[in-house]
Amino acid sequence: MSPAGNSVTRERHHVAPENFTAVTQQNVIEILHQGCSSDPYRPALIIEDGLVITRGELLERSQRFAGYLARFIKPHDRVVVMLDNRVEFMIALFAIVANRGILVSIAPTAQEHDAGHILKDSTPVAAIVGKPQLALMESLQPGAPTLQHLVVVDGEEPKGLEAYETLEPPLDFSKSPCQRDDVITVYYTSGTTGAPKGCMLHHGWWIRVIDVDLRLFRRGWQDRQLCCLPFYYADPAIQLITSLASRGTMVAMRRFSVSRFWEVVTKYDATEILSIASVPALLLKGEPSEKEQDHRIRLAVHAGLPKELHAEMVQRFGFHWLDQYGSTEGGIMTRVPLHLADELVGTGAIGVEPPSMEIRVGDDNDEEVPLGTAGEALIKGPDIYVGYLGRPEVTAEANKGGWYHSGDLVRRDERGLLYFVGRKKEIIRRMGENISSAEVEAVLRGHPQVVEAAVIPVPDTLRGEEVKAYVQLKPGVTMTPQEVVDYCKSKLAPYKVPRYIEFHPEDFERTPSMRVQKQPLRARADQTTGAWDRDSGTWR
Amino acid sequence: MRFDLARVGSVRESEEFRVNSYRLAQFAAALGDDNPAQAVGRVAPPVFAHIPVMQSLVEELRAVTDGFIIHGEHDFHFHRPIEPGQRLFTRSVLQRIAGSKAGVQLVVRAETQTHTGDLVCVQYSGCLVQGAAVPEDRGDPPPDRPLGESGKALGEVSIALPDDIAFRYADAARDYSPYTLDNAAAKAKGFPAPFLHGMCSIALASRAVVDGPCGGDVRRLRRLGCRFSHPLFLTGGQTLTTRLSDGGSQRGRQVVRFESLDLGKHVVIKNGFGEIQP
Repeated sequence: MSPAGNSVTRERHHVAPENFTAVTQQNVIEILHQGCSSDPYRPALIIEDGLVITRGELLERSQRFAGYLARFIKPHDRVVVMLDNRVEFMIALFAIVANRGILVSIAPTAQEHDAGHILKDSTPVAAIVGKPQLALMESLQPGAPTLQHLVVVDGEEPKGLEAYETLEPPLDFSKSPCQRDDVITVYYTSGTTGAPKGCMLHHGWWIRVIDVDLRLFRRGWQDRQLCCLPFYYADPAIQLITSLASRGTMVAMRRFSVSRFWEVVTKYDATEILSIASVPALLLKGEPSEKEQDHRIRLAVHAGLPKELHAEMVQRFGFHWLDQYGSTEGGIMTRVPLHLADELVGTGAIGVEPPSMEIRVGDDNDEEVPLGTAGEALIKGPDIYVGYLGRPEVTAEANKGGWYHSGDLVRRDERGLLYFVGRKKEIIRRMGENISSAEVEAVLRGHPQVVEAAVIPVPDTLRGEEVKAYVQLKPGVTMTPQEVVDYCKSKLAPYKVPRYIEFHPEDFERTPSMRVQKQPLRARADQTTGAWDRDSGTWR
Repeated sequence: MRFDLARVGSVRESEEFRVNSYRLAQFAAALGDDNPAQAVGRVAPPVFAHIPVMQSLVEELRAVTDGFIIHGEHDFHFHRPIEPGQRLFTRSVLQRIAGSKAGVQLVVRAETQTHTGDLVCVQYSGCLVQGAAVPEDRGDPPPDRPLGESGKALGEVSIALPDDIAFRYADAARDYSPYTLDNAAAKAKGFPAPFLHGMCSIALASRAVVDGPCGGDVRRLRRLGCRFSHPLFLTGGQTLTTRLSDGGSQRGRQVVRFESLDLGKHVVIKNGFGEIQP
């Protein structure tokens, strides 16, 4: 074993004993059923505007809606879900999974291009959408021949699915036929080689993430996890199921808001935060208030902490922020051990692997690089993702040699601690969202006036990175930057729409294989000067 | 019925419990407690000390036996008040298993400290598994209680219980035991109706002690205990009447005795006592 390996093992043992298991259940439905039937009056989920759904009601509604879905869902059928943060998202998740179906998640803000791609790619039999998404889904349905059933969430929460809940006898979740290997969710992740691809996650992935999360941080009856992320991510469902497995409750915001944040934290007695992207930076910009000190939060876990702000975050808010490195494919890949939280403030360390996860810092041949040298994070674990939906060759490439190639550059120090260096792939990471430059470029190229486009990340203190598009127009035509932005808005979720637009008067430098060479574009010291800024609506 | 005698002396640690004013005020509100310092969450009502303890206590009891456990007695020893900003850590230890005529008695001692090591509260929960037996007694009995002769009456306080009192307390304590909330669940356990959490009963009764003999200052209350002698059934329009009497003095502290009765005159709290610092 390499010296790095020895060091990691030493730190890892401080985190949790290898032989301790927090979750004994073999599938998500078992956790739901046991957690809800043994404690039916405890709130499962509290929404910031006061809506409470108890565990008993969550189970009952999920079983009733599952009874309806059983009409037409066969094992491994896909069902797309496109919903805002409302309780019915979770009811739909459990009802689909209990039928051995697969939830395919679409951002509720997605538009024709991105939602249409997922519909075509995932060939769902049904779609569950909110009223705001209905018109889009109806317009896309003709292009998705497998999509036979449209379920509309309508009416007062949590009764938005009630019209369907009484049509068939409920499904008894105590007799769930789920298998640990069943794929239960698909989340579309950005790719470098074109459109986003569907990352398939099975019960084993979910059980491992929930088990690891509970092993790294023990929770109990008095704990309430605050969710400020959109439900179409995997994280909110992880928080809910972790709560169900540990007698806790999840408190959810409709959407993140600095002005409401501490009010929600104190009013609903949150004890823990899961945070991404610019949440800490935005909280630090908020007006100081009594509530930001008079709360019961005992921990925040955050992916990609801004290290220059870390000490101020701990000092001002009075609890630890642990950096975590995770991905859809790998789940929780590292976290700063709780006992090192003080020592590692502001160092940028992302921690060590949890038990049963292995990371090799690899060179281009996947050989381990010397300590301190940056290399790609290669991931191995018993229950990482299953693969990419319908793309065995892409899966095989990502998993070559038995390691999942994360595309992220990390380095390891002599104690085994890992540090994030950068992204190997061309992914733009804006406010925790992974944006594929290739996807945005494809949209731009689809405009009749555009010849070519190159999309790159621009560092941004608030949002991590911003999207910048270089656009080459056809000779003789004119187009305003606002028109470029409006076109993108009609095709893409808002977060993917470029903030900076710069017109490129001539053809781009190209590689021998005729791909646009982005390196010269990225190498410019100042990416914003000379570009049009959609936030301010002006040239900079 | 299983009893794991070897667990006597075993320790169970709780998760960190942080205290803030909102949670304290929520607890006071659930009890209808209008004591000015407690209502705004500046200091905790005395029985709040049970909240950070409850999970480790229950988990330890469940590790010892699979029998149905009745909370029979409780005895708080307060060392400092619970206030916003504290970070509390509790260690629960199974102190005793012993047979009696009524069944098997279990005593758990729970010690709560702040993160800086200051002792906040030591409490003894006496529980009973009815009709059961163990081959031998293990461990030490809990401390004696200051239960001398009851002297002159010090007054009586009656509280009308809102019909949703158990739901309010469940939310404030995070104790959602179905037999406190649901008719069918209570009947399944052999009770005619849902009954109030014992800790809610003593929390309500303790309002009379704090606002009466303590002069409204919970910091003066250094010990509080009682026996839960009868379930407080929630049959609608229920009341809890607490009668205080003089219990002399112990170690320089005034002792107040109390008992509480429901609407039907059943004594639901017996042998209640408080020790009050002058």
